[in-house]
Parts: sequence; C-alpha cells; structure tokens
Amino acid sequence: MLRLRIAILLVMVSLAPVTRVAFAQSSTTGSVEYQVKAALIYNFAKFVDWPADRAASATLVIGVLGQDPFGPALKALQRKTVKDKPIHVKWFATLDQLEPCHILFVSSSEKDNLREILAAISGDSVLTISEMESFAEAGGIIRLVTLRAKVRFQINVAAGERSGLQISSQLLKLADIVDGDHVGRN
Amino acid sequence: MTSRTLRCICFVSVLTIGWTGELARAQQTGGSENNLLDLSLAELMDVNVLNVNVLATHTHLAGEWMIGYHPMVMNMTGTRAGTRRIADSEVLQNFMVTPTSMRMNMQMLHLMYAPTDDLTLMVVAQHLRLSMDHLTRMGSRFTTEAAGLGDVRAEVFYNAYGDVRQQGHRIVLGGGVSLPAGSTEERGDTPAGRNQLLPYPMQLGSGTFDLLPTVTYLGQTNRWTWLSQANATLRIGKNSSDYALGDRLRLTGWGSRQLTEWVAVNGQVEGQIWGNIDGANPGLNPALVPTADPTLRGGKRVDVAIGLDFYVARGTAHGNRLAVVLTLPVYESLDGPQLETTWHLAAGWSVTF
Repeated sequence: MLRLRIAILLVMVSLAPVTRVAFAQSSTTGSVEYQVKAALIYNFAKFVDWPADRAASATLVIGVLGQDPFGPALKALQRKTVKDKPIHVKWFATLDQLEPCHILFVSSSEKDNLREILAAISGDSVLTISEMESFAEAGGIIRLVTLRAKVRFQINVAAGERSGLQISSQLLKLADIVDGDHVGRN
Repeated sequence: MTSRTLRCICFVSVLTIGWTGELARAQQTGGSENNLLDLSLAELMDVNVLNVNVLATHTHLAGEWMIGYHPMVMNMTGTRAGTRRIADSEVLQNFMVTPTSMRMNMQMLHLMYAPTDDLTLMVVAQHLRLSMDHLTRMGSRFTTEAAGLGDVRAEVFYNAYGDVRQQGHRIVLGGGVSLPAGSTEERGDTPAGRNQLLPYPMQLGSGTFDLLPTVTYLGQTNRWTWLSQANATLRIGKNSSDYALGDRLRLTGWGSRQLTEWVAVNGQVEGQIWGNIDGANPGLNPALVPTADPTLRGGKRVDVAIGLDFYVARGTAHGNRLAVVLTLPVYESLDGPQLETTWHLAAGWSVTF
C-alpha cells in the first residue's frame, strides 16, 4: 500500500510541473494552428520581393487589420529579421487607421469590408493575406486555409503581379494557384 | 514493488518528468515563443494542427495503425451498503468473511487499424492480476490472488457525422463484442480449504459474449476538444458456470485543452451503473462472503479524472503518445455490502504509424 501511494505521489509530482510549464508555454505561443500561420507569414516574407522603393525601408512591417486571431504567435515575429530587416507588427482596428505596410493580414472580421480594403491598397505593393473564403478569387494575394488538419495556402499570382510583387517560384510551387476577380481594379 | 503494472506506471511517470525537463529547457532558451519559426515552408505544411487522434474516440486516419500499451491500477478499500460506509464488524454480523481491500492490476494491449477515415477497427487484449484481502469473523486475515488473460474485445468505430480531419462536430458510433477469453474458474487457498473456487470479482473474465455499443459526440476547436459518450456492456446469455455478470452503462463527459503542440491536459466526469449478477455459480456459497452473493454486485458510481496527454505531432518520433490519468470517485452507491473504489491510476503509451 505504501508503495502504491509513493507511485501516486510520483505521478502527481511529475504532472504538476508539466502542467505549470505547459500552461506557461501555452500563454506565450497561442494555438498550434496560428503558430503555423504566423510562421508561414514569416516564410512568405522571405520568398517575396517588393519594388525598390518599398524594399528600401528600414523595417519590414506586418499589419493586422481587424480582430487578431493569432494571439501571441504573431508577436514572436518581432524578434526575427527578414533580409536583414527587423520585423515590426502593427495592429489596425479599422481601414481608416491603416498605415503603410509590406504585408497586411486581413482578419475574417473584415469580411464585409473586403472590397473596400482591397481597393484602398491596390497599387501599394502590399502582400495581402487572409483566411477568408474566396479571398484570393476576390483579388487578395494569399489565402491561408486549414484543410484536413494541415495549413495550405492559395496564391492569386495575377493579384501579386498587379501589386508589383515578385513571388518566388519556390513559394508558387507549394501553393494552389487561383485566378482572381480583380476586385482591386473596380 | 507490488506489481509489474505499478512499475510500468512509474516508468511512464519518470518519462514524464524527463519530458518536463526538456520542455522547461526549451522555454529557458526562448524557443517557446514560436518554435515553428525555424521550420521550412514544406515542414510547416506538414504540421498537424488538429489533434486527430482524440483518446476516447478510437478513430484514426485512413491507413493508420496504432499499437498501444496501457497499464492500470485500481484500488478498492472499505465497504459500502448504498451510499453508507459500513465497518467490517457490521458485515461480519451477516457473513463469515468480509473483503477489506482489493487491487486490480491490468495491462492492456491495443491494436487499431483504420481502413478509411471513417472506419477504425480495434482489438484489445488484457492481462489481469487480482488480489483481495479478507477478514474472518474469527479475526484472522487472508489474501486470495488470481492472474491471467482477461476477455478480448473486438470493436468497430464509424464516424457517422462530421469530417475526421476538420474541426467542428462529429458523431462516432461504435459496436463490438467482448470474447470470453478470461477464466471464470479461478481458484485459490482460503480458510475453507485449498484450491477453493474464488468469488465473482476475483474471476478474470465474464464467461459470456458481450455486446459493446458506443455513441460518442465530439467537438473540436483550435485548442479545445470535448466529447460526451455513452457506452454499454450487454451480456448475452449465461456462461458455463450458469451466471452472467450485470449489464453496465457508462456516460462520460470529457474535455481536453491543447497547451502546446504536444501537450494537452484533460478532465473527465463519468457516471456508471451496473447490475447484479443474473444466475449464480453453484460452486459458491453466498452466505459465506458478500463477494459470493450475486445480489450484492450492482451499483452506481460517479468518477472525476484528470490527465495529461503528450502527443508527438511531427519529427522522427511522430505518432508517439504518452498519457497519465488519475481517477477518483466522488459518489458511490452499491448494492452492498460491497467494496468501494478508492482510486484508479492509468498510464499509456501508443504509437501511430
């Protein structure tokens, strides 16, 4: 009986720190899905070239428009650099507050304003990314989609070209290519 | 050490402690903020963002095999009649002998295969080691023991609603049969003589073919998984010793929160009700000890459980899982006098490939 109790004690002692450490880690990382999506956005920045005027800026700015689904996962990018430029993440509640950025993640909370958003930044060399259904078909550049437990991405190549972005063939090779509706030109 | 099962559980605990150290070191080095940032695009696209292999649903993706080893210890100490705890002396007013405690060490081997996303086949074999302590009316104590293979379960789980590979809601239907591989003729030495037939809870199997229907509702979001499950054990006919164990119904509510890519904590509330024995083994004297009385085997119980689940979602150790669950009863009402369950500790390792 004593040995049984020692075994239970051993298990409980082992569980307590795991739970504490794991909870602590959880609060700094967010869900796995959005860690993956944040890491994909970081990788996209490596495989996209901006026009010279935008590429000359000292930092690479990632904007989030609308409700942020990433939790702390996107903040972690601010410790990284892309092409020797530190990453700066900015959050914008509405389109009115939007500032210039290299990458703009359009939250699904902005679904009703999508046409207006894409029209407002057309020609600004912004890599637009969203999870919204039909985002790429509507003129957005990259749509992140969780399909069969894995994160995939669709790219509207024409929309990227219109924005003056050069998307690496390595990135295109892994993407589902989508034809766009060219909302930004309306 | 009291049993091999206990050693196995301790081994899993030591592994858990080791993993804790690794996790803590990762956090100290700053790798915890988003350690996926160092992965390539192709590697990121291979990360499983949904915990598909939810423990209690027994469902897997098409083509997957799973082998699992699950040691478990259950301890029963003290006696109840209804919800009331009663002393050994009270039991001994009506019986010559009373059980005072029982330990069950069970080691289960699971084998699963999913021919399609919606269909998983499972076979479970088990080895039991039972030990029961007794007190006689004359004040002497003795212990009986039994060990050997238990019944074998063969089950099928069908995902009747929802996509196995997507978040959302699912309904999984299960059906199976328990095959009477375990002995119902275990014998041991008692004060009544050598090689005596042991009472019902010391037998290793039911001796009957049992139906095992299951209905599971499952919900999943990014971090949370929850399910409610109803499962039953329905006895068919009587065994060769002219009795059938009581039917059993379990209702389970279970929730799990994904803490990191590879750690989830879970909690469970389970209520179960089981019936008395139908018939009686003519070789047992129900007036001697409560465990030999077929009308004193039924009961109801509500358990709460907490557990940790470690799942390696990628890399060379992909598919490995370690789990530890501690279960404590919060309510027991027994057709007693009958031994009450005091705790239940289970561990498990499995690999999916």
